[in-house]
Amino acid sequence: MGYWAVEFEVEGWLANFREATAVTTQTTHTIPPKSALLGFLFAKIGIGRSYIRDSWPDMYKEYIKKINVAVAFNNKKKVSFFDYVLYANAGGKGELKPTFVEYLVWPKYTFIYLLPEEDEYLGKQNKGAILNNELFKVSLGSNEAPAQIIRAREIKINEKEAEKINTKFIVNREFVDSLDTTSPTNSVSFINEYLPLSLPNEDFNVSKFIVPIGDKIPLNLKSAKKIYSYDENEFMVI
Amino acid sequence: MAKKKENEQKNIEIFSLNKGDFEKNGYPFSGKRAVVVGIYYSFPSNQNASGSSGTNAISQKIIPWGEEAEPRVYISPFALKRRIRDYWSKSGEKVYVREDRNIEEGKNEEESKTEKKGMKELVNEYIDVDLFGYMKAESGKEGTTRPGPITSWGAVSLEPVHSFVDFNTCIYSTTEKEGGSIINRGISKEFYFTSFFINPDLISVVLTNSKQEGVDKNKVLEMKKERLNLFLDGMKYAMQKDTGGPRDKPSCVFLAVQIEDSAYGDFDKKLFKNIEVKGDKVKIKSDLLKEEGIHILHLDNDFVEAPNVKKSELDEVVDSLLSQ
Repeated sequence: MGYWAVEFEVEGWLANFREATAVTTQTTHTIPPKSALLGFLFAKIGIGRSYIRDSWPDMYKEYIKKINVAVAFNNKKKVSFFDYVLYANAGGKGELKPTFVEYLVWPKYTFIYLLPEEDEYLGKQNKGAILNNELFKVSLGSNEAPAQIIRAREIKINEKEAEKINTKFIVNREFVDSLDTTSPTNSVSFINEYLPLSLPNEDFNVSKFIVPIGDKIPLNLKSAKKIYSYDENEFMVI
Repeated sequence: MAKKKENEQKNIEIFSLNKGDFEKNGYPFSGKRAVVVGIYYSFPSNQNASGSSGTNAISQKIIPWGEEAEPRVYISPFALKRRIRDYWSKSGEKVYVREDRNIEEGKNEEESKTEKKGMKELVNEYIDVDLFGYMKAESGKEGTTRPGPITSWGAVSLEPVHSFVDFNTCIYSTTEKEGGSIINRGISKEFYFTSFFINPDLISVVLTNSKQEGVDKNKVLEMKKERLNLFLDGMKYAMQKDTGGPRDKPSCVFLAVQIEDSAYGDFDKKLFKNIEVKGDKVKIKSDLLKEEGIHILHLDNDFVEAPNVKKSELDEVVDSLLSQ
């Protein structure tokens, strides 16, 4: 089945993509996991999810496999803080429960989605709604982190097989051999981070990713992989 | 039979927010989305304690801001909503999340009655469940949630903070021993900037995928109108509530709403980037306020320097948000 591609430039006041292992100190991933990116898209077109503990709707299970994504963190620095929050009714006992929540400050991202060309919700016939609507407020991981879509557009992408990539988007560490020191570049800044590829509680699957910080990073891959490109950008998908 | 069960399951799992589904259930649908921006001026005060410094030394919530990580004072959305809830309480509305809910389980009769109510009853009865949402997670059980039609990220000072420590005395002991206490509080003078996001279609509506009976469209519209008025009034006046000291009452010096179709505008971000603080005044550096879809509800010229703009009436803004 064919796909079509969209790009969103997104900026938030704050962001918290809670790490699945964090409970009373809710540390955050630097970039949104695929489940948050799926929620972002569903929020735009007005599909909401009921909260059912330890369970995900079939629709999420289905679509997390149907779409591919790429994410870039566009800030030059990662700045975060811990907010002290008292949640009412935590544990169902009417107690106020102290929790620390880590928020990224003014985060900027590029999201790319490869979407099925023919699909009831995410197909190209819904392009107008996917790009322009925001029926639920989109957020960066939590209700307290509403996000702003700076630019939304369809992009034409090319595919190739390559053993090198120069990218601002995250790359799965297992595909990477080394930094490409022969490539002319600015100073390289990146972090390694573990990110879930699946929905929590659904055969939970985590991989280590290279997250470039605010600029492109040239990488040698272990073997030829599928690389996508548009404008001046290259990326691999999750 | 199996097919019926599958459909029921899907009804529980997802709900849709599109015009057709709303109209099918008899609910009004405007498709409008709004961004509300508020600017507040405070004399030296501590608007939101950090919560991590103990009972006798109350520091401000100071966070690193932007890529330069400047120290700015932050007020969490929970603290802002607390003030708005208290304002609603004083206005005679019932609020669900109250400070006096911090009680032992089973000790309050009213509490146990409330827990048995369905979402529709909670929304009708409590303005904060309706506007700010609801979530109850219970171990081993299906949780209950209602997405908040009104959300916020909090508020931040418009300049890096120059905090100093105030010395207070208290006639009560914070250590439960006899005698009074000495308290140190971090305080500073600030202009605070906040934004809230409103989805009017979700207000006074209980989302479900199944057909709903007995929805009175006019009654729902009336409730939306009344509660939107109370929210925008709250944005203007709630900050002035007495939080425990005569210096803790920031005044609203600017309140504006941006209304757009189908998506939220970016007025708050643009305004934040186009503001300059000059002593006891903020200067809006562009013609942003004259753009289409921006409604100015309050602008205090003693504190805000801006191009001459026409102010809007509250009713007119609420009508515009709900127009179909």
